[in-house]
Amino acid sequence: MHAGNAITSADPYQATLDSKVAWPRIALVTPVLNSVKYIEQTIRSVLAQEYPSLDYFIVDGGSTDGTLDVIRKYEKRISGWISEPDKGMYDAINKGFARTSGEIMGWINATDMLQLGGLSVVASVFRDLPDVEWITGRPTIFNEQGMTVQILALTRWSRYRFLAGANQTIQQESTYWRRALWDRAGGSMDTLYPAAGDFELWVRFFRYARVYSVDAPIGGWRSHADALGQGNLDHYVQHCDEIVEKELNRLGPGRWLKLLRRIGRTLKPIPIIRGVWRLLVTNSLYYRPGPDWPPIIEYQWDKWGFRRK
Amino acid sequence: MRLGDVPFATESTRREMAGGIGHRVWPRITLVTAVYNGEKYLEETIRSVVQQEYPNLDYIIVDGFSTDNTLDIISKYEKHLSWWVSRRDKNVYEALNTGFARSTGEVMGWLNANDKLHTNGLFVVGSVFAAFNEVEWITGRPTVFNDEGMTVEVQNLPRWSRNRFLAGANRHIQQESTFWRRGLWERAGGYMDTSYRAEGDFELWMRFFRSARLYSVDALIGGWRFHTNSLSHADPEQYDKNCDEIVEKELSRTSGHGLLKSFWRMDRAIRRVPKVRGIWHRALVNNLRWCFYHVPGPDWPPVIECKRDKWIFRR
Repeated sequence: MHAGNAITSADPYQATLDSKVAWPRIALVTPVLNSVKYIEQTIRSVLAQEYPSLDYFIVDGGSTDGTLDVIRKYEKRISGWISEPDKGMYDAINKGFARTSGEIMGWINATDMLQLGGLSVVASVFRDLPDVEWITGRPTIFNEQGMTVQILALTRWSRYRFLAGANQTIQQESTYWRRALWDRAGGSMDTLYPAAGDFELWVRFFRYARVYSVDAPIGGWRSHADALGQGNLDHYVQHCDEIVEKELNRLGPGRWLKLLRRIGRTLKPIPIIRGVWRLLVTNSLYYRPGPDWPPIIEYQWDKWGFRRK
Repeated sequence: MRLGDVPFATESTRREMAGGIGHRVWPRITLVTAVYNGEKYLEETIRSVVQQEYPNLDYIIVDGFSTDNTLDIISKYEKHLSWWVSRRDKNVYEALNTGFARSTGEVMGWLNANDKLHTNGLFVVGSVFAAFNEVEWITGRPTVFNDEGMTVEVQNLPRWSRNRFLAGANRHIQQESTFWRRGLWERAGGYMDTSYRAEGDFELWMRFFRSARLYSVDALIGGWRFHTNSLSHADPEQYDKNCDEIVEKELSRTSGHGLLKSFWRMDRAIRRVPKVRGIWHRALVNNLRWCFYHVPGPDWPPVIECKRDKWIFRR
C-alpha cells in the first residue's frame, strides 16, 4: 500500500487472504524474448492477482525490442529478473526456477495471462488438499486483445490415455505442481525439444503423480498470429510421439499401449480407416474412466473438495 | 504485494488496446456501482473495473450514505470516476436511477459492490457493440466468484427468448455480465422500478424484452460473488413469487400469448390445492421449464462468438 494511504483496515486482501492460514509461496517464472507487445499485459495479469506470497521471476533471453524497459518498470514488484542469451525457452525456465524458492511452481509465457484470482485458486487447492501434488484448471483461451473468448470443457487426465495418444494437451498456463514433485521428476526442463518441453515434463510427472482437474479458470493461452507451436504444429506432434515412444520403452508393463500405438501408426497412411480408428479407439479413450483417473476438484461451499459421482 | 501497488499501463499500451478493433472508436460505456456499507468488497470491485483501463469509460458510484469506510475507498479512486455521490436512498434501484440519470455512455450496465468484472470484460462489451449495430442487449457467460474473489464456477452459456422468459424458464440472467444500448434503455422507459427490493433487474429485463432480443456472448464479462448476505438469496421463495407476479403483470398488459396466459392461470388455480400442487410442479412445470430451456424458439438470437479476433454469429 502506498505511503500516506489511510485505508489499511479496509484492505479486502488483508482481511481475507492474509488473516487465514499462511498462504503458500508460489514460484512463478516468465520466460521472454522480444515480446514487447504482450509482456506488459502478462506481468499485469500476475500483479493484479495481489497474491500475498508470490515469488515471481522473469528470465529474458536478450531482448532488443523494449521488453527490458517494460520489465524495469515493474522490477520493484517482482522477485527479480535477468537478461542473457539462452538455449531456448525451456533453458530460461530452468534458470528461473533455480532462482525461486516457492513450494508451488508454475510458469506463464510472455504472451499468456492469468485469470482473475487464478493464483488464489492454485494456493487454496493445495492448501485444502494436502495429498494433491499436481493440478490443472479449466482451459481458457484469450484473443489477441486479451479477452477470454473460449472456455473449454474440463477434461480429466490419466497416464495411460496420455501415453496412448488421447487428450494430450494439458493446458500449461493452468498447470501448477508442488516442488516435491518437481524434485522427484528430476528438477529441470528438458531443453532438447524446442517446443514440446512441457509435454516432456508432464510425461515425467506422470511417473510419480496424478494430475487433478480443478473446475475453475486459472490461466489462459493467448491465440495470436505468432504463437509458438501454432506454426510448427507438425513438428510438435512429431516430438511428442518421440517422447512417448521413449517413455514406453522405459515402461515395463506398457505392452498393450505399444501395440495400440503400432496399430495406429500402421493405419495412419490409409485415409478412411485412419478416421475410423481415430473415432473408435483414440477418441473413445477420452471418455472412458480409467483406474488411474483422479476425481475432479470443485469448490464446495467454502473449500475445495473432490466431486463425487 | 499490497493493494494500491499495481501501476497503470503506459500510454503506448493503452493506444495499442484502443486501436484493437480495427481503429474504430471504442463506444462509451456507463457503469454504475451502487453501494451501501460495502467496505469488505468494494475495493476489489472498483479495481476490477479501473485496472482494465477501458479508454472510454463513464464510471459512476452511488453510495447510500454509508457509515463505514466505504467513502474513504471511493475517494481513493476518485480520479477514475466520472461522478460519485453519497446520499440516502430507498434501495439499490433508486441508487441506480440516480447514477444512470447522470450517465453519458452509449452502452450501459451496472455492477453491484460485491461483484467483479473479469480481465478485459469491458473490452468484450465495447467490441461486441462496435461490431454489431443491430445488437442492443448482451449477456456473457455466467460465472461465480467466492468470498476470496476467485472464480469457482463457470456455467454453460444459456440462450434467451422472451417466450421462455415469460413461461418462467431461464429466469436468472446474470446481471453482472449484462449490458445494453442507451436506445433500448430509453425505449423501455429509462428507469429502474424501485418498488422491489431484489427483483428490480428482473423487472427491467421484462421491459427490455418488449423491444429487443438478448444475445449471449461466449466470453467472460463479469461474475457474481457468492456471499451470505446477497439480496436474491436472502429469501429465494419470496424472490420467485415476486418474479411470478411481474410475469403475470406483463402478460396481462400484452395481447396474445393465449397459451402462456392459460398456463399461468392453471398454475395459479392448481397452486391452491395441496397435494396436486406438488405433483403438478414436479411432473409438469419443471419438465416444461426444462424443455423451454433447451428447445430453440423462433425468437432465439444466435450466440456471439470470437473467431480469429472477430465477433461473429455462431451458425
